[in-house]
Amino acid sequence: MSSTASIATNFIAPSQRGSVIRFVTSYTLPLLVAAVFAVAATSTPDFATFANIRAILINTSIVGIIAVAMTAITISGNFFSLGIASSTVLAGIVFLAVSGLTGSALAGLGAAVVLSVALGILQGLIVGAGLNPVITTLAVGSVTYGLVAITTKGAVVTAGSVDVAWLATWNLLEIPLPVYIFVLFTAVAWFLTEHTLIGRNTHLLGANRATARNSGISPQATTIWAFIAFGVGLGVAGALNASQLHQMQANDLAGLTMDVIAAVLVGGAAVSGGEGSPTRSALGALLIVALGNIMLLHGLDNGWRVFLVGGIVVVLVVALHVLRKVSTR
Amino acid sequence: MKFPSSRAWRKIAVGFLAAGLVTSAAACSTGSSAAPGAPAASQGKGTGTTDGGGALLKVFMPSTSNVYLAAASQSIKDEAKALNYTVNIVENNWDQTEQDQQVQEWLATGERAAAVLMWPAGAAAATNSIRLLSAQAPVIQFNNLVTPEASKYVTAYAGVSDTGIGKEAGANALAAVKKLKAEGVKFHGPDGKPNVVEIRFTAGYAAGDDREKAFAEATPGAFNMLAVEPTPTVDAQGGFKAASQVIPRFLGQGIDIVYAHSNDVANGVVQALEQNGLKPGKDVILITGTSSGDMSNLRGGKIWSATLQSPVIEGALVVRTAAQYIATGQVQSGDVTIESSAAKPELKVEAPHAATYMMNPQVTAENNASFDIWGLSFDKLMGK
Repeated sequence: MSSTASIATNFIAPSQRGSVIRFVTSYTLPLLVAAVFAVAATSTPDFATFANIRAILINTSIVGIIAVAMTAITISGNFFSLGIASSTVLAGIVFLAVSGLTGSALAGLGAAVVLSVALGILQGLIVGAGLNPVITTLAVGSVTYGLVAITTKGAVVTAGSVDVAWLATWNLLEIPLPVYIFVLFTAVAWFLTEHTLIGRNTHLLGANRATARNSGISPQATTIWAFIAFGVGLGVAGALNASQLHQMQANDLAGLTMDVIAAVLVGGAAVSGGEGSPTRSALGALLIVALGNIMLLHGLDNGWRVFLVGGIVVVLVVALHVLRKVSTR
Repeated sequence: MKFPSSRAWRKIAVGFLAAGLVTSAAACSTGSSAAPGAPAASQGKGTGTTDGGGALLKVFMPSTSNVYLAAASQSIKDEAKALNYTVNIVENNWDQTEQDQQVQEWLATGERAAAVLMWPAGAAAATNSIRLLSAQAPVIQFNNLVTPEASKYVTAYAGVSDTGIGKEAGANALAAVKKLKAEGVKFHGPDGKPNVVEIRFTAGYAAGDDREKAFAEATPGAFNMLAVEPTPTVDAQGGFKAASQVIPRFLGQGIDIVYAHSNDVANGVVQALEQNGLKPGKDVILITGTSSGDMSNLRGGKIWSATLQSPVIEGALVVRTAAQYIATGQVQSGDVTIESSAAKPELKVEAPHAATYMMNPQVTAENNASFDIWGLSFDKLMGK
């Protein structure tokens, strides 16, 4: 462990200029989110109301959980999963079906997580063996969608008379459970990524696969761990989504994959791997939702909102990429 | 931790990818076997009978991974069988490019069909495929209204009327307001008008445009429209996403009515209302369009009303329209909306109208259990 830590330290040791830029890279997003919230609170009517902030947090929670969960995949140099939507739908449907059969939403949640983790391990094994992660996750997404469509025949799946809504509606201080789960999930992911051996291995694998391998790090084991974390997030998010609406069908969540990828990119994760943070991915998800909300409150049409949020995402991603390049020169 | 060699995993992965392709193909392709088609009825020369004599109806439509399309597809097969037609359905994954390829591949086979039943994946981009098909057989379009560009290639339209659904939703909203006013309910808008938020289908989706316009025209000046918010996707998740952002904005002003373009979308709106401390069905009246998705919120009184859009009727209607055209070789000008009747109307040998629309009766918690149209209950009409 000590040798790995030492390699990690040497590997990412920045120059003086680099450390300044790295500081900026790390703290740009939190500062930006804080600034956006501060400016909006003073300039946007109804922004700083409790109901509106709660709406932003609720809307962030499910995308945020998956973005946080996927960050390990991106950091490990395996790009993204392109099968997010169908895997989340599968988790939601399993949650509803098992909840309906057992009468327990917790049993449904457990089943959704177990299945998603199994799917994650399967993808981790394939990607860890050296297959292209984009093609693999796309294929898994396709298989999953096909199976869900065939099994459900496109019908709406519910949990029948079993109450699953409490998972999404139970609240503390009028903030519903999914928001707390999002915060807790982010904290655990942050700890695992930043303060454990597997987290350091994930960073090293993404930064330089050959060096990581020479240092005794197993690309396969590390990739599998990254996909397991992803599976846990998908299972939880799928169950929360299904409990929120008490229903799920094969064609749901069409835009989810792009929302999650955007959040991870805005969070500053390097597409090529080695750089990224679950907390920043969570903030990325929060920023995207907040920007859309502010524009909505200013009465901008949907087209303008999509255009401007997309534009801001592009600018942020480019800026973070340039900063990262400069810091490594 | 030991792992098998990369080569072995590659083999497994290749097998897995192949399975993916097969599964996807299975999910996107159904249909009975093709049969030799009969010559298409030419303009003015009908066969004189609605009996198809085993002739082929070729159907192009999006994937039956959606319950509505699965029910419509089954209804097409059932009606075709009843009229002695053979049916062959080619599905696409909601992709006009894919449908264009399927059309060209089918034309290249030289197979003959008595008529082509076309649900364009994207009507605005389907004109060329419709043009090519029309040179081979009469094209009966369904579900997506005919665009002006495609109109000269489409023989007739049969199916849903988004305008009709918007109009019915408007009438339902007015009736709800009248009832509540009689009960002494005060609304929040200026001059006592109800404040309305509309959660419409995705921006640029023609069905959403028609429903929005028809609702406005059916309720002139009756409401104080606070916002028209498009959903990112036309499902419950999309409804929740749109409503959960827009509702807090107008909490202070008071929301009296939410008009959602479908019951499925409204299921998401219900959740958003409840998370903002509002009781749908009591504090806020939810009027919806298409009676799609889970109906428990409607049956539980949280959704005031929906508008019937039956895939079973739509599927039958398009086959019956094709059979009438093949029988007569003629099309009547103008459009007609079929009446709700307990018994399925007998199919007469008469020219179909240029556009035949489905009926759009109101669906409520009170009446959905007693629905009887064409001898079918509400659940049967929705293909459940």
